[in-house]
Amino acid sequence: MFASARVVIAIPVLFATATAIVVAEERVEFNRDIRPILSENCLYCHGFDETHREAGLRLDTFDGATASDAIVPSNPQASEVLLRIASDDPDTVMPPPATEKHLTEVQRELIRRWIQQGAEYQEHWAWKHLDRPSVPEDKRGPRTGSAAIDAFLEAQWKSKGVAPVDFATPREQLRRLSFDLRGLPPTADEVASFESSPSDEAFLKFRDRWMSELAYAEHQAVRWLDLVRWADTSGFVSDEPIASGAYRAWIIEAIRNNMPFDEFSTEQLAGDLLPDPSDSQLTASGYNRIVNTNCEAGAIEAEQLYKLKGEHVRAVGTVWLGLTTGCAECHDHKFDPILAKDYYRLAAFFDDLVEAGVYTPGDRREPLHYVYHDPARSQRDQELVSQIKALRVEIAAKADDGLSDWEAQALADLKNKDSRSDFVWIPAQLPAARVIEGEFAATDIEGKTARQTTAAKGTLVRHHAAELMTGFVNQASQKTDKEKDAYFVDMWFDENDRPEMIGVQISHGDYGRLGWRTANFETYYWGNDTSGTLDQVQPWSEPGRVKRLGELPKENGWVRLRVPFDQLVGTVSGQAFESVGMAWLHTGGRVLWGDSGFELRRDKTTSLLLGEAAIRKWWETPTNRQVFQSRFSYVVTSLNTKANDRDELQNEVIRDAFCEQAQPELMQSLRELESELFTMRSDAMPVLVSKQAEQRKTTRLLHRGDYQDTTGPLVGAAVPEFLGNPISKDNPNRLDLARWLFAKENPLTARVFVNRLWQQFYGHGISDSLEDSGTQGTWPSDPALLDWLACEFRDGGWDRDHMVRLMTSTQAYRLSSKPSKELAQLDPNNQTFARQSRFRLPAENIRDTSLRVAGLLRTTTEVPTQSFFPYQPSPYWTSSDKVMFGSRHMLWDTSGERTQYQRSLYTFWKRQNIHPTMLAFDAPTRQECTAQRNITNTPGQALALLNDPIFVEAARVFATQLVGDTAITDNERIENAFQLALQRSPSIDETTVLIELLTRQRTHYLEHPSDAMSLVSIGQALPPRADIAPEVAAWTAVARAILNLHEFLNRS
Amino acid sequence: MMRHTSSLDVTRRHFFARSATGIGVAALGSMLNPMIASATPGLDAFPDHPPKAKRVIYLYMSGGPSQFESFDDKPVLRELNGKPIPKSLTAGVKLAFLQYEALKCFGTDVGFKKCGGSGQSISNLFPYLQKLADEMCVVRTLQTDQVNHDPAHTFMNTGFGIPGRPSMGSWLSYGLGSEAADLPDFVVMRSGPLDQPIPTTAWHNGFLPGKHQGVEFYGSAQPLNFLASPEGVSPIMQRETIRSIESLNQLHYNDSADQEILTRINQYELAFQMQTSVPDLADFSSESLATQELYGVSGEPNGSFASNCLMARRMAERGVRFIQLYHTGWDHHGGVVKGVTDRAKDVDQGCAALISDLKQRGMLEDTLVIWGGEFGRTPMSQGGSGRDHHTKSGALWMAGGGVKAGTSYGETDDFGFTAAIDPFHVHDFHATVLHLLGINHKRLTYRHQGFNFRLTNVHGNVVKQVLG
Repeated sequence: MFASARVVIAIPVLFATATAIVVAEERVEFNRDIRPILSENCLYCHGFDETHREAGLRLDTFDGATASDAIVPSNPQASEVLLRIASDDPDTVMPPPATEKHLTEVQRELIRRWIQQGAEYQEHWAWKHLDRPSVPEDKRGPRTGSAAIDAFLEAQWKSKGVAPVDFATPREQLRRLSFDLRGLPPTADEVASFESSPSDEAFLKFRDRWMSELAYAEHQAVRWLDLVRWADTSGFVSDEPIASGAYRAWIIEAIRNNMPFDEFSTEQLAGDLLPDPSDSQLTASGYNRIVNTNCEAGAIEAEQLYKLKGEHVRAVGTVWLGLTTGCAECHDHKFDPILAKDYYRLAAFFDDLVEAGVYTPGDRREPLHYVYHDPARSQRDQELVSQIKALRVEIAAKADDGLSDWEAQALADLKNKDSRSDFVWIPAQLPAARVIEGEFAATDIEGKTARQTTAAKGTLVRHHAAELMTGFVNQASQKTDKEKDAYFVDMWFDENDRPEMIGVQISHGDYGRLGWRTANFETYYWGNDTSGTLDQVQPWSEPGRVKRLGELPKENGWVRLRVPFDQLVGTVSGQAFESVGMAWLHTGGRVLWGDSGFELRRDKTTSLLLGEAAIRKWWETPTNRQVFQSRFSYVVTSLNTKANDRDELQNEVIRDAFCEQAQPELMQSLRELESELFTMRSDAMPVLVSKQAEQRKTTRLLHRGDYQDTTGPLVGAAVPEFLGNPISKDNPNRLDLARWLFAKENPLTARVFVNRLWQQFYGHGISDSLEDSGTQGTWPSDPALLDWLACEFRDGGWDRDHMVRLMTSTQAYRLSSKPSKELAQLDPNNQTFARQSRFRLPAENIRDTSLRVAGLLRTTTEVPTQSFFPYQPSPYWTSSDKVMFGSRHMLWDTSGERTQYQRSLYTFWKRQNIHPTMLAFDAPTRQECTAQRNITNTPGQALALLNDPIFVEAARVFATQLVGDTAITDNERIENAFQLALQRSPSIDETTVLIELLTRQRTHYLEHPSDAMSLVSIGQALPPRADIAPEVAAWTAVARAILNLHEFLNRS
Repeated sequence: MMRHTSSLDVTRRHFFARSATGIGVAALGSMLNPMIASATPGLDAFPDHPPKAKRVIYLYMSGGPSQFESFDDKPVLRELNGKPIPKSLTAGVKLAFLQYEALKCFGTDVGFKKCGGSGQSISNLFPYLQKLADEMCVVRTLQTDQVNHDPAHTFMNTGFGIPGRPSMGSWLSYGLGSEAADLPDFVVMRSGPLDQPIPTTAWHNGFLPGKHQGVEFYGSAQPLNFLASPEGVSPIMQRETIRSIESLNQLHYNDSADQEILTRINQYELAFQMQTSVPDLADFSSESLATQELYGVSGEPNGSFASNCLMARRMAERGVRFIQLYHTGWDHHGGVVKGVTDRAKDVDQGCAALISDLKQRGMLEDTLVIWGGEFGRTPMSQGGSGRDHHTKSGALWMAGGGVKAGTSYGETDDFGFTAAIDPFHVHDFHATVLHLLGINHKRLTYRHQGFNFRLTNVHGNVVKQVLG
């Protein structure tokens, strides 16, 4: 009867699979042996998902399986399950042939024996209550700290009958430690020093020093950036920039300060809900805002809002719970007891967030928070915000009397084609604006407010304001009289200090946003631009779009400049323009600037004046694209709709406009406050933050995930039921969710975290599936060790660095990664950790290490908030249609020397197009949460390392260093090169290979000095002198060879 | 997966055992083993039945080409032009832009012709393809679940609306392996006006290993990122450097016995070969004048659709498994007649040239050519002259590779709104393509997050009627 069990024993692999080995006498464990078989083959139809359950039979619980004698404990012969899986009748065999699944002989035997032994079900390992297991003891007595980890591992080795390998060499140990902690190699001196005294103390001293460096926090942060899918862009279609840089910096700083993991997580999920949140806590809450968002014109708001919910739910599942929560969107989870209801209830935690389903292209994605260098400004910002809020409440409180008269007047004015008036678009005191460039001083002259600018003789000054609270204007649709219609600027000439040239510029874009091309600007001037600025291409101007309108006005004092519509420079073909701002410029002299705007027919100016109320309404509140892109005419459209046909929103904006226009004094105060606030903010750093909306969104339990089916019930926020520890509070919010994640009763957060951390230092997780701790995930090779680590983390105050120290101070951490013959056979996948792991370094580390070896890597003590733009192959972004278009265009502006050599984690991360070298080395696109990167080995990697200019530049700068010391021999230089790159001496064979390469390259480059010069000029770093170029070029080949070595790319 | 490394292993070891000294770069030249960069196998289980097609060239019309101006003639729409479309058809259907508009029939005046012996109806905007009707199997009932471009591309390519799953080309690379010695299994090219960006998710490998990712080639003499050696580095110098890297890696392997090192040596060899083979691929000068005229291209690639078609044929000859040519500019919310006219001019000749060329070379029978977009368009007008995105009907055609030539599949209702008979859902499309390549779509699975994923998720039926 043990025939098949003996077959199992014969397999010479101990731990190759999760189901592993079952020795005949050993008890069959449900979790280890049976659950994976059921999960894979049976539970899809006989599992947790009630709607999909066949024949009313469930096999995932004891009660379900025994209710109908599918399983009769201790009696395999009477168990229907066994008959079915053993059947050879296609009509009765399970799983049915159509599923393309079948059980092996071994699996059938396991099930038989498990039933024989009583068919005991066990709770899934990850969801069991988390209690600290006792540490295995041996004659050395009780062991704590890192020794406890070793005790667990030793017990495993003993029980599996394997012996650990020897310790790695001191060099290997130190390189491993350095890469694991910082993603950078140690120096040759550090290695030499450790080799001379490889004591535990010395090792730990290195560790503690490196953990105190910013490089440590930067490297550790990358995992988190992958998990929360941090990126610079919005993800869908045009994939435009979002203000996420500060949030990345926050993550790095938090890890640098070893912020406890509970606090770290809470501030991200709910920093905005903490009492009196700081800038830093608000920045952390950007976590909820770096979701993928859409701005496709045809996207459906309701559908997109549900997609956003999915973003939130999947992230919580992957990041903290190790649950594939996304699977329950359309139906109850097939394998884990996650109900569809749980999915939507988790989603409901995020219903309070201000977010839109469909944005307009180029949207800044309010709400934003503004961070200032000067705390006094932050303070002032807050004051202004609350004053504005109060004033707006006061304005909105106006009674409705007068509304109908006002409406009648507005409608009459909207039909008035007989008179003309001015539309003051940009008053002297600038309205709230998103873009303010250039310097000016506020002043008064002859009783009027003005902005004063001064320029030295022969120099041009310019200031610019765009994206204004007062709207954006489609100029073409305003035209009624080509001579009388005009842009105007009121300005004041100082007779004692007259300018040589005076000019005005109209800036354009789409959707009310400033475009980036020079075609988006047109310039008109009077006088002579002695600075010559306008004759040249500027980022904001090109000569073809500059027009001289005549001599300077002769008058002094207040003068009105006019740009009649018939004088306008034409638009560029194919570009739909809206005027979104103006710039004011002059060469020499002192000028005071008053109001700017349009001279138009009365109906037109009336319409433009009515736009401000709607712009203000949605200034900081994102709303659906359809409404938002037509916001400037929303009030007028609403007024033109018959009163009975108006919807709620239309009535609302009409009332807003009435309240504002009927209370000019209050509005004057409001505009002043707004002006101050946004002038200040134009210099501050915008940060995506979470913010609670006044009105929560709703979440329905959707049938099959279909947002159009509104028959499902509305659900409130709750955590998955099956975990058995609900939040005992009505209407829990994100903060409650965060607290629940870190409650002692929740066993998942700690287990999931320490498992991931273990993978970082030992090559793979104790449970291999870092992203899934559910029943389909991999059974942990040592559940007791995992639980002990999880308790250590949870009970020690969620101290991340403590765990890093523990994991790096074990004996096991320092083992060699080379398997013994015995281990290679018995434990090919290293489930016992009786040796260390070797693996290729992550993409970022490869580039960083090359730059470090070359001496190019730029490290700072201040964490950058902006990404840099590395060299890119030219068709990759600049000239392909992967660019963002319309006003969302963004130039690939390759970073200069100051930032080009930053660490790779600061690379501009465009989700749709991450840098090709990062992609080649398996960096994730960050469209989805990633718990574990793939590690591949491809020709694309070879091409990138050989030919990407950043690596060539690193090699040639490295070569220049090597050549620098002229007093030494070639062999000594190769020694130096190996020391710098690999922290060891080359072997004789290695030197021989490289000397031969060097000799042939040297001959070639001496014969071809211009080739040499080309090679050594690649990149931005200063090229060497021409006379040594051939020698540097020859050494560049040697350096390239070394920087491409497998050993160079690997941690072992 | 890299089973061929063992033969390399032996060769290298042998070499180094023999020559303990004098490991010369020059001597390494003789070590070039022809096996080094040979094709990599897929999974043993596949093909699981005799394949009709060995490779796919997928002409992907990005933006959603209108079936009403191309392959689905609807006289009723012309008769009822401007009249409301029956509400019974449209109720409950997801619409993109038309969610804000009245729904009115929109008949086209482009003209259709019954073509060839098969009498298939093809619009006059495609005169070249009209001549090849008897080679084509036209599907008129393509249905998808996604109504916006980005998710629809993702769905059409990966069978799922959210990014993160492998695309069809990646699945085929994974299941069937490669037949190209020195080219990727899965190549993507693009042409067309600068328009909506195409999400790169469309050719991503998802959770499959990175080597199954679609590699983008450019329609130029240097089709690949980082393909050219650095300035000032001649091919010989590059080769010497690579040989040195290989020698040093081999020494490292002798010391460590880490199999990954052998793979890496292999990949450097392959990379070097690609530095020659990929530019060769882009050298059209070896094509006959007749061929160049057929495609309407000459000399070197010019980035046009037709030029990409010729490149695709050259890749197909060299064993690339899955070639996807994206052509942008089919999103005609306004001016659909002019729009399709312009796009048809871009692609018609190239499509026809490709089919004829494959046929005359005897390659059409085992090359599956597919033409289609991410969704169809509405029979209702948008703003009078355009058509909105549409999930319920759309056109797609296939040729060669075991497809029944000169036939149609699926009929839409009189309005062309949805399938009257034989809907052809994206999942069915995937199942059918996999079937033609010798794969049972239910068996090609990959375990990820504890689940055995398939291209067709839990759906999909092989549509037998389109099989030859």
